[in-house]
Amino acid sequence: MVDDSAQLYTIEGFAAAFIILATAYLISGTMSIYTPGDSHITDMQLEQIGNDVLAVMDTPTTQGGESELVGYLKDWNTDGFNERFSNLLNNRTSGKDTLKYDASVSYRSDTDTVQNAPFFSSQTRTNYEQAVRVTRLVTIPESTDLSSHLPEFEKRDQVVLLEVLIWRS
Amino acid sequence: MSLRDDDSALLSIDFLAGFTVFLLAFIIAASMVPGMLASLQSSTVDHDAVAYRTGVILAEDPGWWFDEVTMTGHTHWEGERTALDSIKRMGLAISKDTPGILSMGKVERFFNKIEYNANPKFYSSRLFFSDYPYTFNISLKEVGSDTPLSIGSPVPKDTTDYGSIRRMVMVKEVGPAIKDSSSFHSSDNTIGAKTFAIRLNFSEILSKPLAYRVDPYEDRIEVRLENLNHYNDNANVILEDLSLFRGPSKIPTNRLKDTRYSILKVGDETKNPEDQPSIADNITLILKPGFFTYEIVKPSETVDIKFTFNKTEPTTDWTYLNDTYDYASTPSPLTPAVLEVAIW
Repeated sequence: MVDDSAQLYTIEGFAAAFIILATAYLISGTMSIYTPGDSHITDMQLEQIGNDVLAVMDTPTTQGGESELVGYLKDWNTDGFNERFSNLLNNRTSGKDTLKYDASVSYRSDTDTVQNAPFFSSQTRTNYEQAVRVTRLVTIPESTDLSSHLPEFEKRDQVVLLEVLIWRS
Repeated sequence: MSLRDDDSALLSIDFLAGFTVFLLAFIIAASMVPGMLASLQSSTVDHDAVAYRTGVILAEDPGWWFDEVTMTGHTHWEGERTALDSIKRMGLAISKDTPGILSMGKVERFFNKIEYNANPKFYSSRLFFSDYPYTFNISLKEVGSDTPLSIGSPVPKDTTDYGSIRRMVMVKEVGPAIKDSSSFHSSDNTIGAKTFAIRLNFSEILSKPLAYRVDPYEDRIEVRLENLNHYNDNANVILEDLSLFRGPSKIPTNRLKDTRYSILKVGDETKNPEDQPSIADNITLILKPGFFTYEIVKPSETVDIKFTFNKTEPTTDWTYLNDTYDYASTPSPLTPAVLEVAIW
């Protein structure tokens, strides 16, 4: 007797299921989820130390005093700034780090435009560096005349933006 | 009778088979999900993140002390010497409003190697808040100094083996207030005890900006009285009593006699005030961070630390120190320091 009894009607179903499973397995095996972040850990570490150093230099050490950073900027003391900033940036509890930086100042000119001038660079950049950018707003007192260093500098109480690029050499 | 009179039972077998296949597929697919994410696991990323978080807690948080019985809490955890469970977090900043400015009192308590070696697990639990057994090294060095403070295990040689973060911070330290005793008022020739008081007006002391004040709850208070030998009657003088007063009433505390909280030095020797030590040319009183608590004195109150001097034979007239010194000290200038956290 030939009929459909005891035939497995779902044999096609099994075949289809295995094909789907095999496909799903292959696809999931080749899939990867992209997460930004892994490569940014080192950038984050540089940004953190850079921001910290600027904050430390901009904190007066005694009440009512002037911060080091204001002093270096208003006197345009690039050598003093370099010595202090490099020292703090590369200080470790044991040994020294090898970070380099390039600092510039953005300010408002007397023609009401924002201009940018270089402040100090500890190494000439090749533009291949993996640099991070940290900034600090610094208040320059009115009595300061920086027009010899900053073209068309408007002589008044003004907040300038100190921008520092930091990279590991 | 034909076997195929009706379709009874056939459907349910199909259904059973189909559902089994579906379940199998579902289980296999679900079990593949962790495998898809396996490539994302990276121990260095995790360690860097923990190091960063620990660095933030140390540099920007003042820590937290909480007593579950009285339900009170504050940030002066460094004064706790016995009930360590009350210390919930060990941050080093002087307050939440001054991130990056560390308290020397907290730094000294934190980098205390004896306390660390006695209970390294306690440090782990209060730094990482995790059951995972992290190994760590935390170090702090003032810029220009050659002697870093550090606790933990030695850092691995290969920099890829651990996660780390470096922070630049400032440290607030309070130096001693040194006073020449001849600048104070002396009693005239009278018989009996003379008292000298160091007055701490808390509301006045606490009214200065956070980063530039001596916080009696937080900082070490050290007063050194010098040149006591300029009195002619300087022989056979003893310190009869040393007590804490709020107005005329004595505050019942034995912290002035407990070297965990305070140190009395006569000359350069540490003395116990209960022994009524005889007085040399100078006296130093050091109140360690955490000496004052809110239970002993409220931030609005004024307290006097009274030294009572007397002669060993109090029968004759004598002249000696008899004045009140209004404690007004300012912290030393803030010093930059580098804080490094390594975790693996």
